[in-house]
Amino acid sequence: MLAKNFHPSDQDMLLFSDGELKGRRAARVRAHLTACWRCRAQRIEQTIGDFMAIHRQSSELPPIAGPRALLKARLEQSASDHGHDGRQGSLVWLHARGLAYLCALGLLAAVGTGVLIRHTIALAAASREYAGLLPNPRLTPGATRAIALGDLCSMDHDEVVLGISATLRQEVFDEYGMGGVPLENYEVDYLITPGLGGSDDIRNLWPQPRYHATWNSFVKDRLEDHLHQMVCRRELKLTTAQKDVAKDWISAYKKYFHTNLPLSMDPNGGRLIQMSASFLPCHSGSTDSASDCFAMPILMKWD
Amino acid sequence: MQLPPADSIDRLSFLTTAGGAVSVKSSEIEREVIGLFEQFRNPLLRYVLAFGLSVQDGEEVAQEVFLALFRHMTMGKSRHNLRGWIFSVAHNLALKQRHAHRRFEGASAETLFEGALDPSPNPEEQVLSKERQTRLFTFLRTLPVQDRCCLYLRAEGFRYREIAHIVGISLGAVSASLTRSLMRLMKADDR
Repeated sequence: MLAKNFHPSDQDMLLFSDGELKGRRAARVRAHLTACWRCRAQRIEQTIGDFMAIHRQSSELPPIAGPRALLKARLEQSASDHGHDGRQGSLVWLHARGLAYLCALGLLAAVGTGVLIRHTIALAAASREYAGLLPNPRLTPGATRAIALGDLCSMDHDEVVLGISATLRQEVFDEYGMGGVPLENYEVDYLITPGLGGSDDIRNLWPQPRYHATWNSFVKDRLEDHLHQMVCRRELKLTTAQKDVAKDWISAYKKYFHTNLPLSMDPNGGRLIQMSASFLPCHSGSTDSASDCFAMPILMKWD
Repeated sequence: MQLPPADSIDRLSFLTTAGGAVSVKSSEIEREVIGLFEQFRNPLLRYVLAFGLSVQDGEEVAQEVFLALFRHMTMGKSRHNLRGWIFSVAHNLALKQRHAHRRFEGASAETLFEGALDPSPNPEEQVLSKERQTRLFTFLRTLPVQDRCCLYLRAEGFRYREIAHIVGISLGAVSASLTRSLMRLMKADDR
């Protein structure tokens, strides 16, 4: 009989046992197993079984009690931080509400109070938004490569930046647990750009929002370009630039551009100008102008 | 002094209730995560040790994984195949840790088999068991990390598709890797 004479390969046998073999190949293996199940499949399964048994017996792992207690403490801390944020939000709301009562009682500073309320809400919103725009320092502390300043400055910043492979990009998304998030809205970016000596180590890569935030990847690109120029003009130490960006790139932006808002390219003169808040992108999916697209004094200051 | 209107008091009680609900939900998730930790910590630790990490680094990776799981669940994200999710995140963190420490491949096998327990009932069986352990230990040391990962995950009961997803390789590559490892394992075991 054909079924008895034909012995499937071990690979086919494993695939079949996992339900991954289709069509004619599956039918052949199935036919074989009816007559010759023990000849090979059992041996393979036995090998896996033996390996598993030795694997478990041989692994003398430390007791779980200590790590479990540590995790519990860390989870409580994490939950407490989360709750603290929520309470802060409530306090901001109550504060705003209180100020609104004062306004309703006819205080003369009604306009000023309104601005203060909006500003308070804006700060709370900005704080929440800001937190999502910085990488997780545990996953992405930043990593650099050894490179001479002369080599770094022999090219423009854009020329130094290398592409990131699709595999590495996926690894970054997986690491940040971003399954189910629309990935096209994120750019896997270097925390310390190669133009400042950053490496393509995964510890230097993170998913950065592309469009839906004030402090997006395009804004960071401008900072990187600016710092590259400063370093190459010997106005700033390379290590200082690296540390500042790795620590908090938004604070670095504010520090080196002397502004609290991202700058925009002036279409007429090619210079960077401070954007009006009304031109800033609103938070994604929101239509509530009071919460996300808050009004701020228009600042068109030339740099 | 003018009292705040009734609707404001309602709003305040709503906030308190909402805060309480968040707290209750958070503690439920905490318990759930601790339960998953108890269930998966040992296999997860064995898996990350296969990357050549020290036990201490492996423990740290396991902690990171379950903290990430807590955040994942708190944000209300998908709970589909949490075991696969846990191993997938652990795989990436272990790779990163391994890269950071630049340890030699095979160090994990030494860690794993150090001070191994021997359940054999008599001295003769103990000797045979020890010999077999040594053969398998030698075999594991020679495997590339990717093959070792596939073998460990298979030994933990993952299906081919899950292994492919966790390790980030194709289904065919998983199949080829496991077939190769098993053939070598059987040869090593037969000696």
